[in-house]
Amino acid sequence: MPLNKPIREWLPSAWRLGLLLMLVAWAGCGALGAAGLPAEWLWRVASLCALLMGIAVVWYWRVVLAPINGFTASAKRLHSPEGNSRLRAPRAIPELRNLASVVNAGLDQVLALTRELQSTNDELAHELRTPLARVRGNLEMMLDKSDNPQAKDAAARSLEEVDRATQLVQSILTIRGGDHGALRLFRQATAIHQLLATLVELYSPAAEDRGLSLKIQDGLDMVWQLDRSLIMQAISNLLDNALAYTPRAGKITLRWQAEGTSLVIFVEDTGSGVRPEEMEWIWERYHRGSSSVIRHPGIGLGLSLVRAIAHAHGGSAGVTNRVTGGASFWIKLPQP
Amino acid sequence: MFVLLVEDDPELGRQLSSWIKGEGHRLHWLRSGTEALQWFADQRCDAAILDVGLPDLDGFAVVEGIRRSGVEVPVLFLTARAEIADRVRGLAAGGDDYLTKPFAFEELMARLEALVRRSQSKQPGVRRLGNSTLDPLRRRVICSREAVELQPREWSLLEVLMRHEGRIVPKPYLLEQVWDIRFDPGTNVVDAMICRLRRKLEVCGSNIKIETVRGKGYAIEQTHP
Repeated sequence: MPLNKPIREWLPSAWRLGLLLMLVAWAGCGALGAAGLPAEWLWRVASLCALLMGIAVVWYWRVVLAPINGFTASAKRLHSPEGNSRLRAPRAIPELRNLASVVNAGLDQVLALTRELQSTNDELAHELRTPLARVRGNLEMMLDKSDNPQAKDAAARSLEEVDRATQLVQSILTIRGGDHGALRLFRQATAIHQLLATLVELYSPAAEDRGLSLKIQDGLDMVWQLDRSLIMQAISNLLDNALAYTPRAGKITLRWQAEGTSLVIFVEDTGSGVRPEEMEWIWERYHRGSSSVIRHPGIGLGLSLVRAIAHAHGGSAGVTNRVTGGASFWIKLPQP
Repeated sequence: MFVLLVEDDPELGRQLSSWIKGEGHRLHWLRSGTEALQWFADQRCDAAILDVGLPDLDGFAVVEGIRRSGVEVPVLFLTARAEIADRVRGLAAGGDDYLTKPFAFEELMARLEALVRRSQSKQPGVRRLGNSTLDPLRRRVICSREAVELQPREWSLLEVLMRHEGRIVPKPYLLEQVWDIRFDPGTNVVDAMICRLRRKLEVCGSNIKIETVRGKGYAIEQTHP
């Protein structure tokens, strides 16, 4: 414990109260002794005082301190978007019980809103995906049955557009859900090395075609509770960016490390890095970095999606420029 | 095969029945979950396509119902919900596969065929295609005298394409079968992998050709030995 911290910060308050009472008792006994009471009596009074003090400290601990510590623990769990904890303190003093019930009413409201957002998200998905499916079906029919090359070409292009629109709908719904704690995660124990290795295998041919090297920097193997599919999508968005913005002969490195009780996954490149004024801005919806030529339509939502997925896991995402040049994008995932 | 379709959307239902019948299969189309439960009381099919968002009972409840009464037909869910949690719920309810709307018709057929094949469980051994012999144990393609060894993902890519020979395999289905990924990355990762596979096949003199069909996917071209 650091010594420069004021005493009151690290001395638990129950002990402080105890010490205070002990000082009062000691002063009292001194006064009684001075008043000429016999030593035997003095002992009895002192023991009685000690007993009362003990009772007072225990009472204070049980109805004030323990409930407050409990509140702190529940509030910490609230940080996680899947957290559904409430403040509970059946034995606390009435003032604290009141506080708990007021806060819980607020939390109930938040939960109700989150549920509503979840169900509107489901409805929206249904409302948007069903017409897209009808259109897609008809276009496919047109592509299959038409003998006219121009009609065939138009149908093929439209099919690609429909698929892009579908992906966009999905991204927007995921961002909406992730940003507001309404994304349902399917967490499973996932070996981080294996997850990254799959992505490297998937991206290697595309990276080679662009004259880029794509590698994993091995770390301690870790198994983490996460939504494999969403985290893969987040890292794959970071890889899409790295492939698009790193010049030929560049290097892209995937690595991970533990930081405290969190796991941090990095995607590092040897591109031109991110301008300081863009570091926050690029994570906003519908933004595309200005430093590059637009090569990939639809990449604009990529980073907001990464951040939303990190938030849904109770974590965060960000970027730093490396001293050696290039950007280092990271996703931090706390232990659930 | 005989397919039962349970779908309340008239337009999708119409498209699906015309496609599936066009492929030479028999099809019966029901519009609600209750009707489906009643139908299964005394009739059977080779595969069932169930919409999840039905007006009365949802598709999950229908599957739970028919599984309770001991019906083992392969079931494919069609749904507008894309989250993995929903998918897991569908499979836990007793479904066999799960396809999100909008979907490519070829993908639906590829999945249905795979389901029906799985329930008959045939194990593929060494097989011939064009002038090449494919050895699944060593992941090798052997042509006349030369042999080329494929990397695991390249092999599974070729395998999925071969399993659905004569069909155009859409990209999302390849991504799921080969990499277990249920989203389409922004980079042209599948294209790049297909190109690499084509080069390897060319190098060993194989006449297996993988065609790219715009707007639809990839297909093994019919080859002659």
